[in-house]
Amino acid sequence: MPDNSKKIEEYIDNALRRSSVYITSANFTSVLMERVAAENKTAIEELKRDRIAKYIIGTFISLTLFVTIIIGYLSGGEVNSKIETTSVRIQPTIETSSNYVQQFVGYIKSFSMGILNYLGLSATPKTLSILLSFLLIFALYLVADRIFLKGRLKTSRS
Amino acid sequence: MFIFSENRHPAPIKKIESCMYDLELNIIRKIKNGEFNVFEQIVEKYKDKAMTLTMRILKNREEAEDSLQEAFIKAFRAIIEGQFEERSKFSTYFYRIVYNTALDNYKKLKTKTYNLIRMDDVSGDSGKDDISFNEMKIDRNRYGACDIYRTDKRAMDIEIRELINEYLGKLPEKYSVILTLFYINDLSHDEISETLGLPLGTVKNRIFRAKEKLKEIITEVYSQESLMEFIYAF
Repeated sequence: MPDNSKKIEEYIDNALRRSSVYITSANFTSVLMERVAAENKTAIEELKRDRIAKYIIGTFISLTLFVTIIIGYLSGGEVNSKIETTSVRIQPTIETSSNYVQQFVGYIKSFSMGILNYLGLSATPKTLSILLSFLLIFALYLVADRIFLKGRLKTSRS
Repeated sequence: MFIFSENRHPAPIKKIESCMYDLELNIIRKIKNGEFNVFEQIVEKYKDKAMTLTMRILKNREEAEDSLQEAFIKAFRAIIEGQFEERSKFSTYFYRIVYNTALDNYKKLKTKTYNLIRMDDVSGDSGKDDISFNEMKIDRNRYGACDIYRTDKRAMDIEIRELINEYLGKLPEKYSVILTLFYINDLSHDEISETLGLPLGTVKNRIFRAKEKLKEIITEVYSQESLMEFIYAF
């Protein structure tokens, strides 16, 4: 009888393969393809927006980097300019704005030095400015990424 | 509505399989390059088999169709966003999306009285405490009429198919989904294990148990003699 049992099993295998398949409704593919077309359009638009967002982020980061370098350069030339300006009379408004920038840079410097000293690291103005630039860029990237890219994904999914 | 798939053959030849795989990859690459219309070929190829799998979980035509549309859209996005890695088989990847989408939709529609048993529920795999499996009711009186007229082989064949369809419809989902993936969707044991996230042994055991139960039902309805006569004549 084991042969019979095997035959029945084979028959069951075949019968299961030939068992019912549910058929989708007649307009299933057409409706789906319309949705796919819409999805494709959205995806292309998202890609464009993605690219624009990346350009904006890139430009913003480059500008920040540029401004940071300029500030670093200006603050580095502080001593020389002081010597040179002793004999030259500068307009009071320019002098005041330059003082504000110096104060701002000085504040960031002292703050960062304080942190580095607290961590037991020695700091020079150069390393500090590099470190600050990287931190600033990283923070900006994170913020921009969250606002532009992830926000976009959320809206597209909803 | 469902049909009997007459033209499906067991275990396709490996060469054809590899050809189909290449063809599918070609379609996927075209979609990635912006030819989204070729996605229709994938839809046509998979829609009915995927519908059967979705129906096993949701058991409602409209909900199953909605769920399947959602699954196809997810698969399309996965292709264009490059989430689908071409190293794995598309069918395995796609059926995983179909299965997970159907399960998610089932959870959303939980208020309805479905009898879904979690796929990862291993109770009953030992064969002792699987209540829904053991208490599964098949109306045996509906079948076996053609056992009297043994000459009508075609009627018997149709009747056995109906019996199998009723069996698949009433079988707990943790068995029917695996049987569908194996016999209808043509996935291997390994691929089912990967798709459902179940151990290979559990997959094999569930297929074996479900088949044994079906065999038991069939041999209860039809006498061994007429069944053998039918099988040899078939």
